[in-house]
Amino acid sequence: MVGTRRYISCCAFLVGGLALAGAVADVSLLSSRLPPIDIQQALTSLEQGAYAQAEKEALALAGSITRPRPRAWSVVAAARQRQGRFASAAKAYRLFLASTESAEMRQFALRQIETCRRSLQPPAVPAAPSSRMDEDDLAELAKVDDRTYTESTEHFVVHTRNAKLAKVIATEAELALNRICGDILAGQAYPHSVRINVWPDHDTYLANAADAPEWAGGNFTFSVKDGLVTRQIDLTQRDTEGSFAVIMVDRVLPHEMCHLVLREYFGDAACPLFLNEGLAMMAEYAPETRRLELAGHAIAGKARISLQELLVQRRYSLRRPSVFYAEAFSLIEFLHSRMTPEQLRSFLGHVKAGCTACDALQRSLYVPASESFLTSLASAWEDHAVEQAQYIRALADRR
Amino acid sequence: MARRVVLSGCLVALLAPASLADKLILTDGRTFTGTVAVEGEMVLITVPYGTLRFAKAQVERIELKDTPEQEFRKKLGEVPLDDPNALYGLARWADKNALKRQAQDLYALILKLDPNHAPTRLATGYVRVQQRWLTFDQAVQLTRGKLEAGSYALLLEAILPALEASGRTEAQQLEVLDLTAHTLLRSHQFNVARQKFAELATRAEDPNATRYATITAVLESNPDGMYVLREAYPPAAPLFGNSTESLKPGPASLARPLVLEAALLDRAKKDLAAGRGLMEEAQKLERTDPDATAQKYALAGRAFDQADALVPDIARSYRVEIARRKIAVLRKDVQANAEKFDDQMAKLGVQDLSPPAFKNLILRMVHHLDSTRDDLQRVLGAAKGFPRELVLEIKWAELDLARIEKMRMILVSKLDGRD
Repeated sequence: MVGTRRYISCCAFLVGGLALAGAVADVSLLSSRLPPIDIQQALTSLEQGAYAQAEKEALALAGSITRPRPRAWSVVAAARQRQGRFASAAKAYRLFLASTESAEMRQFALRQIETCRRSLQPPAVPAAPSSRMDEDDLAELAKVDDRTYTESTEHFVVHTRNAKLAKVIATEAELALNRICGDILAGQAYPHSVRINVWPDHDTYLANAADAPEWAGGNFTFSVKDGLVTRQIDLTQRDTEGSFAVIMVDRVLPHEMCHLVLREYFGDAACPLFLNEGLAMMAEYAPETRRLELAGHAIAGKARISLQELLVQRRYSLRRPSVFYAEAFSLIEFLHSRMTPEQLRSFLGHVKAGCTACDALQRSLYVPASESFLTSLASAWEDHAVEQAQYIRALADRR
Repeated sequence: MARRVVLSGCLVALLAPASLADKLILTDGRTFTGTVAVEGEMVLITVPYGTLRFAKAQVERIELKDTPEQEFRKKLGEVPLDDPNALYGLARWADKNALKRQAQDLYALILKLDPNHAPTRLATGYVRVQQRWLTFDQAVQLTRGKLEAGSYALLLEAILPALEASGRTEAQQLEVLDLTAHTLLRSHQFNVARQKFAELATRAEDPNATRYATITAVLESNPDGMYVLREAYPPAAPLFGNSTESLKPGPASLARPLVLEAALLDRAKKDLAAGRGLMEEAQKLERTDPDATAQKYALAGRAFDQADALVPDIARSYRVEIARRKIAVLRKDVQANAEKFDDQMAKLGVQDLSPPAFKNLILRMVHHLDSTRDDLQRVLGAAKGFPRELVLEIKWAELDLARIEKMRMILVSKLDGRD
């Protein structure tokens, strides 16, 4: 019995000893893994583009049992992100998020997690509504009844003489508004209701729509009378051949809606024409590449409107309207692709507050006031526009 | 022989001016130091502020003493002129006895004899850097070059201590301290660098003090020297697509100058936001409370000063906006005064006025013109500093001022009865 007890205690001692030895071995292994340097070495590796090395060094610091450095998770995350390992980068950002108390750092981590998510699942390019319609749909949408149908959604009340069209327009209007406010205007709210009239043809449209320009197939109205605000979009259902005007749903509706949202956003402040038209063209589904081509050609050739001129053009003083529209679209597309949503929102805010476009850009980018800013911007945009036109031409030639 | 000729030329310069420093002690105990002369029964003493005359009976005694110049002459006669060390000793003596010019001449003489005479080089503000004697400015330039080249050890161990020893003025000492702090920062010695920046913050004047204090705060909140950039830097780099060095959002070392700039920009953004908030508050008060408005604008101006101290000129467009708003308010006053002036002027043509009433009316018109002129001068004051941005406002005010001056001259001539 005594022998058995002794045997048990010996075993227990042995097991305990082994466990301790294992732990020590683990710690010593860990400490041998720990680099004798601080986080600066990981940062140097990151800066030099040695991402795997940076990740390894930062992991050793972040995961250290003796002296963990949670801030090193940001290095791990950045190294993984720059290697294109977005899922594991997002995990590291979460660990960094959990370790930091700074509101700014938390915001940064959340934004990076979102960036990683978007990199893993890039948002689909919005398809034009007409691409979801077959010939039967188009034929159905071209019909005109005697009576008027009304369809309403959160933001729109649609009046048309085709029941199906009323539903389609209501749905597409909500989608377009969402895209305009969210993606194009970098998160503007639009808590209003808009009346949309779809007139059967161009003549009826001209006869009924308020301030309808003869050359247009649609327009928007924003007016205040006796305290009553009217927000309205007038559209044309059929083209001159009596077919359903797909351009109305693909381009005119989002274009006019963007103008309306901008009109509401700017209030009494003046929205520069290039910005108003450029953003409205951006809002169109499948914007015309010929505009970008024209912009590039104009800039490279003699028809060019300089950036300085473009920024101050007014509707009634346009000398070359087609070039103006093309360049305005090209410039806005350029700014939109190169600025963050925050910068874009801030830019709009400064323009609304009365800044010139140039000042507003410098403020939103936090660039010290400089006379050379506009020249540098013009140079960068013109290079981009010409390059884009060449690319489009090359694609067209290949086809 | 040639050296002898050169030396004797220098000596002539050294020995040029000499004056006596006699002491005149009067019987009443008063003492004067100057040049004593005796004229008959009078004793004259020329002091720096004039010549005093005393009767011989008033004089207790006269002590004739050597002036420092005289003493210097004597010493110079005893010093071997080809011994740099001996000449250096005399130069130091001259320096201590306020004979700066003589000391400088002697230093020049020594350096002719021995261009590497270290004590003389140090005394004349030279710094020994890499076996070369450089002036302070040359050494600073060299240090900046070494800093950019990353020679931190050489800077910290040799160049900066030598430069520190040669810094004579406070500005020079601050310049060396700044270079030291940046060298320490770039060599990853964040804690020591922070201490140096803190010292700079207490010793320097604004706007540099603000900048140093902010760097200290950045290093305090990031003791490991890691800074997480929330956006790309420089912020316009993505827009311009520059090929110049830029930083991606994410962690980076504060040892890199660009990262430090980015950290300062982040702080400046906060100041700009505070300033903008104050501007908005001021705008709301503009119509009802001019004093509170002015106070808010002044506070906004301070926030913008802070921002500008961190990123030069970043708040300029906000300052222009404040100036423009102030001008708009002043313009309203100008307009109101102009309307009053027009009302008075309208009476001139239609009313039959007695001479006193006429005079009174003219006086009122002059008063309105003066008020308008004051407002226009305030407009020019507000626009001062922004001649490019506020060119229209300035031109407008200047033209109006010229017109007002002409009108005022006509009115005053009517008052004087000159017409």
